[in-house]
Amino acid sequence: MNCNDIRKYFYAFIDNELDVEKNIEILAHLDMCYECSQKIERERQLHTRVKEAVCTVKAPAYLESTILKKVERKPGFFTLLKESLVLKSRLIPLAGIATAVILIVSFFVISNSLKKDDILYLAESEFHNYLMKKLDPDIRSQNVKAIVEYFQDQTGLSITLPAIKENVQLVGAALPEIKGVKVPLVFYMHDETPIALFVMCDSDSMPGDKINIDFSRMKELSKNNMMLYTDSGYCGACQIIGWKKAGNEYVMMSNLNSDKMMRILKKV
Amino acid sequence: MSQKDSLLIHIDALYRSALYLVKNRSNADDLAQETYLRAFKFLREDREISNEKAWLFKILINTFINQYRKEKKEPSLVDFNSIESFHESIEEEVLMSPIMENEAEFNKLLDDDVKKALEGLPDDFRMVILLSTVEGFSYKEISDMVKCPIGTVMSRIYRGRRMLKERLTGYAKKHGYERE
Repeated sequence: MNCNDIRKYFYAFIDNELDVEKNIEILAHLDMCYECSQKIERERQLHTRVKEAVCTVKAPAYLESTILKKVERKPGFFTLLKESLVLKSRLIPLAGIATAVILIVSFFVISNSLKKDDILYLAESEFHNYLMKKLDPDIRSQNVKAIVEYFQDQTGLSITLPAIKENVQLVGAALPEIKGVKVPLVFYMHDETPIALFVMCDSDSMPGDKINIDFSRMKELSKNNMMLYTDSGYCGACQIIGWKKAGNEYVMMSNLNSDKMMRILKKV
Repeated sequence: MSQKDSLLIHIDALYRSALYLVKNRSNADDLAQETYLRAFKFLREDREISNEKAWLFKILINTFINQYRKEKKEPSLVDFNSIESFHESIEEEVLMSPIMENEAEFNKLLDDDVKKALEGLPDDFRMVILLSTVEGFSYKEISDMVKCPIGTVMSRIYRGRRMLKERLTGYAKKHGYERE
């Protein structure tokens, strides 16, 4: 290796980007050549000086707490929903969903179809209401315990909510009437996508008419010793996943695909 | 230590790079904040980050390119070296190698000189110098951050340092004469 080669590998050598073999060759040359080793030394000195000068800059003291405050200040339910509705990219699918809802509703009203009795259909309508902002949560809370207590107070039922991953935000809950029975409905947000969870409690403990979900025509999927059922909603844009646990039946509904919804559930 | 805390360790590094990228404190504040908010949003996704500092800088550079460069409407530099490998592209430049004669004493430089010289460089060159010389990222990491082939990164480092050195040599000599 000669002085010209050193010029070629100058920066790669200084930046430790050369392989061991090349590195040794250069070191050997620098050992013999005072001029090159001086040049390398001076270049290093320059780098150190630049680094020192830039590193005198420190982040202002308030910056860290400002960032943390901004993270903690989670946007409210309506802000999220508004954002989710206003986003241009969502307007088209939403307009599609809205049309689909109107079409489905008018179709079923005119034909007076049996589907009105289908709990999944009713659950989907509730989810659409949630999506279209028509359904206010009766209670707005991010606290699982507060929501469970609310259900207990209102219906006397003890509800067990499934364990949900931290990146899914609990928003609130409501008790819409489905077939004359108040059904616990829990709202979540995954980023900007609303998710609704219905809990059909054990029909023995449920007052009024028995309501049961017919999972039989849905796709069965076994995951972690649990049987999950998946299907598309009536509108085509919604996805449903359902499961049974300790006598209760759960239905989760969202525009997320069913795989994503399953991943939201901690243990499943 | 929470994931957030371990990311916040790099706040000084992130802020100083932000400041040198956007060149004013208020925008640097915004850029650093935006970088962390994006990073934290991603954290909730339950993923593991292997090299936190490099990952944060990738977000920083990405945010800078998307937000501040667009506002400035500064045309991006033409990547005429992107197809060539570094050693090929550098052959022609050996004559104007980084080694210059009569280099001045760099330790005489003031912090302000360095600041002025760095801020005077075009964005793409200033960016790679901050990432390599100041933060010590590898060429591969930088290539991933600025989304350019390694050859282009090396060429930018080479040209950027050369430009920087020319400016600094000027300042250093000036101080030399002043003190004599």
